[in-house]
Amino acid sequence: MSQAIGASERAINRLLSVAHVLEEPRLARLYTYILREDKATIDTITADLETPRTTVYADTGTLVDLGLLTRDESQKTHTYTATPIRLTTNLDGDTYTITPTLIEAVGRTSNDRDLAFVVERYGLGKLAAAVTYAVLYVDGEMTERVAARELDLQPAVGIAVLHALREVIQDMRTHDPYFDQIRNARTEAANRDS
Amino acid sequence: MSTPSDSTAWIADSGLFIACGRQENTKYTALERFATHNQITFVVPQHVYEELTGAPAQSTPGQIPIDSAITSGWVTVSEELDYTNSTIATVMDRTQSYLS
Repeated sequence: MSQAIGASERAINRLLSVAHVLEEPRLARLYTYILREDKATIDTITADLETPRTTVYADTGTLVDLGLLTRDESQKTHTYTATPIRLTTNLDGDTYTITPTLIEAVGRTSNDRDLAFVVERYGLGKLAAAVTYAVLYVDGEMTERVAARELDLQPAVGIAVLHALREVIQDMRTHDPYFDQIRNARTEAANRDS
Repeated sequence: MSTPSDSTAWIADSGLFIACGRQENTKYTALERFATHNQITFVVPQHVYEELTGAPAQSTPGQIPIDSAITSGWVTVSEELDYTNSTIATVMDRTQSYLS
């Protein structure tokens, strides 16, 4: 019984943690940086992300509290590792699995005007949908123009967003252990049409 | 080194300008330099111009200085491509086949 309660608690807490990171591009960027690096110290984070040390301390602390980072305190210099995220949402049969690839896309909104524009104008859901089309685009299964049309974005904006996400997909394919679980846009289109 | 002669190159899709204009814009500057150095005028169909100028100002395509490129003379806007023209149709087919 206590084990079942523990699992429920863990699931809800993880949901809230992921939601928190999706709302904070700086935390998202830090999380996926550490995931890609496997291990990181405050020094390496400060240097690579060009972020003030005080901010890095605060943000790593937040991510540890959220259960998305683990701090190894066995050595004098603490190291951080990231816990891979996989969160599947299901709303009346519509599902989406949030993985580190979406977190990376959110992280890039802090310095990519096209990704920032999509989130600001259309919301995070549009960015999540764009990620699913970007996988097809990068794999050469769909042109950027068709993907932009399917996403119902102004053509030039859609193309710019797909160009931005191409870099995300290429970077995360090898670092996101749940990359294959990103919803396939073709499935989404088929479900919509049926 | 001989000076290249004036020539034109058709750009049938807005993707080139968007790719060059993303983020720090250095590729766009390089594209302009390439065009002016080689005395090439890029010809874009009306719909490409409209896609770029119709994009919101906060996005990359909305910030591409296509009008100043036109004023400078290294980009010009034309009528739409005639896809019934066999040469145009062949080039477009080959391009799409290459992309897929």
